[in-house]
Amino acid sequence: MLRTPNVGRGGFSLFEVLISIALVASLLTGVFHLGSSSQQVADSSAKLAEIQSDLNVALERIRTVVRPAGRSTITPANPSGASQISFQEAIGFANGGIEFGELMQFALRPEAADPVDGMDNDGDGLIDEGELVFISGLGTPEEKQQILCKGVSRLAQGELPNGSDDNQNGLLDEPGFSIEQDGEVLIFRLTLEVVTDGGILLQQTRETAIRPRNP
Amino acid sequence: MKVNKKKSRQGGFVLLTSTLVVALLLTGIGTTLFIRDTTEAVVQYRTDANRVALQIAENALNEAATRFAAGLVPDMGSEQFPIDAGSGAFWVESRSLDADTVSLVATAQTHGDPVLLERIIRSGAAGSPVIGPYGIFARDFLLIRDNGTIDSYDSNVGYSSSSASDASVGANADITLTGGSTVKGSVSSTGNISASNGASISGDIEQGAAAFTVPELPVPPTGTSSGTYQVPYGTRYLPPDTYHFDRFELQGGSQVTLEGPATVVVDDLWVAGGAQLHLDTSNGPVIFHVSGQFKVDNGTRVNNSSGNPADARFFISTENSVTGDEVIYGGGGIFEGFLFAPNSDLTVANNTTFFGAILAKSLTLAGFSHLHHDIRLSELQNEGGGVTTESLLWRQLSKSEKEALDNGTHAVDDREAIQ
Repeated sequence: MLRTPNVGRGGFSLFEVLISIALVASLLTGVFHLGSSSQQVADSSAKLAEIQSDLNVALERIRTVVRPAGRSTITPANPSGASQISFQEAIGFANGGIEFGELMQFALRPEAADPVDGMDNDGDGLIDEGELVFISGLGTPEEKQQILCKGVSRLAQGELPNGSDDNQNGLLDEPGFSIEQDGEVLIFRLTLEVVTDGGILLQQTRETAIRPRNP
Repeated sequence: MKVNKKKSRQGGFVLLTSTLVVALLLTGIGTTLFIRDTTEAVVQYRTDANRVALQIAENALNEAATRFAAGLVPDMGSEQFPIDAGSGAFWVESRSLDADTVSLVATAQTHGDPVLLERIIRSGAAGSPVIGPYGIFARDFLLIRDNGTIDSYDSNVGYSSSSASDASVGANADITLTGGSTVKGSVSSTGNISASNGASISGDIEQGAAAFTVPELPVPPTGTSSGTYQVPYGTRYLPPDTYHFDRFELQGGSQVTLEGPATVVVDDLWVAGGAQLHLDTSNGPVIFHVSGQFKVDNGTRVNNSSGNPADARFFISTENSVTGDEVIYGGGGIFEGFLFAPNSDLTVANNTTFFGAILAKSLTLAGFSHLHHDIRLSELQNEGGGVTTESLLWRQLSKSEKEALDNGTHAVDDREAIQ
């Protein structure tokens, strides 16, 4: 009895198998790199969107609170690059004059988990980042503090700690949250930063100009 | 064969279950993303709507203020018949607070909650710290001699000699500068303008200008005089109130702190040499109405804590023709305020430093005196064909505050609602 050779079950040669494995490995590597790269891009985009959203929310809050402030109540009187500002809102009118409310303040302060020591104490990839705080009822028993955003850069975007105006906005080594005055208009600038999973530092800066409406 | 059919059916079941599980997962993820995006979109939508409503309300207030300044009824529209404003609608209600002060409340609505803004304005026909475009003005002649200087500053920023060239000086007669005197800014006169013996004007010069109509003196509040208020020495404090005196006299070395808002109606005001009058205007303005002698001696200080001259106004109706009445500003002193003396011949003596604005019948600025015109005053509203208005208050109202205004009651504390 002669057996008919089974051509369909002849198998692959070792060489063919090796080629196949190499091709599949190469394909998988490409897919992995593509996926990894896409994930990094997605991570960057998500974090960028997050700090942009934080910037918008913080500056909207500043506009809302500062708009009814009295210009005569603002301290410091000429905040040229200051990182905090105190003021009072007009809440009423009596005896021919404005009634001002409680003292309020926007202030930049170091994040509790990352004190200013030149190190990344909280392991988020940022060094000595700060947080923007809104304080109402300043100096009273009812004082309330609200953190508007974290990840405020130690210096504004484009600034280096060298005593020069690197970002050419007229201020020297201004912090990530700064206030400037132009006539009756206050200009608030805020720089937020974050580090992506890929170790890339992202920074975004926004500013808003507002004229306190009350004398 | 039976075994193969069973395996085939099991394979179909696994495939169906897997498909359903995947579909369920995708539906869950999709729903979550949809809800998140929808929530963010709603929040953004409301924020944008609020911003638009705020803009509409503010524009409405400005228009109502213009109408008030022009002598028209400032009310516009009503809740039943709001005025269309593109993507929203508004109405403005007014409430008279006194003869020349009005509260305007604008309500604007887009697609979110309504925005309510209140603005209180005072007609500046009398009592406004605005002298048209001028900071220093004389109804009659204006003489600057012997190194007297007029320049400018912005009380919001502070004085800086390097940016002090925006003073605005005017007179309805001749303006004369002599002996090294200086005006850093523009000078306008219905008559002639001359600068001799080293005097100079850095800005525009306009001769033969149209006469400026000087605003009326405001009418002081009526009341009974408490006699003489005299401080021979030491320190005194006067709380916010309205005062009537025959004579307000600070003798040498004494100090008085007068806290605003306050109004002082007095026949004679005398601040003797070395005395100090501190006007605490952090909570409101201090307004003096002087009808007799106005005499501020050498080396005095009249301070204004807010630094805004509009918060320290001196309205002097004195006419020098009356015997014994004199309007003298002594040398070496410092004064921060708005001095309005349209019937008085005013001499600012040697080495006086003045911050604010002055209007007098005639004005003589003597040697080395320095007048700093606060350009902030000129930035106060000037609307409605030369009738000025002064903005006293701007605030956003909560619903309960609006209801309290309507009912004349206190508001429930719901200010958080507009934060």
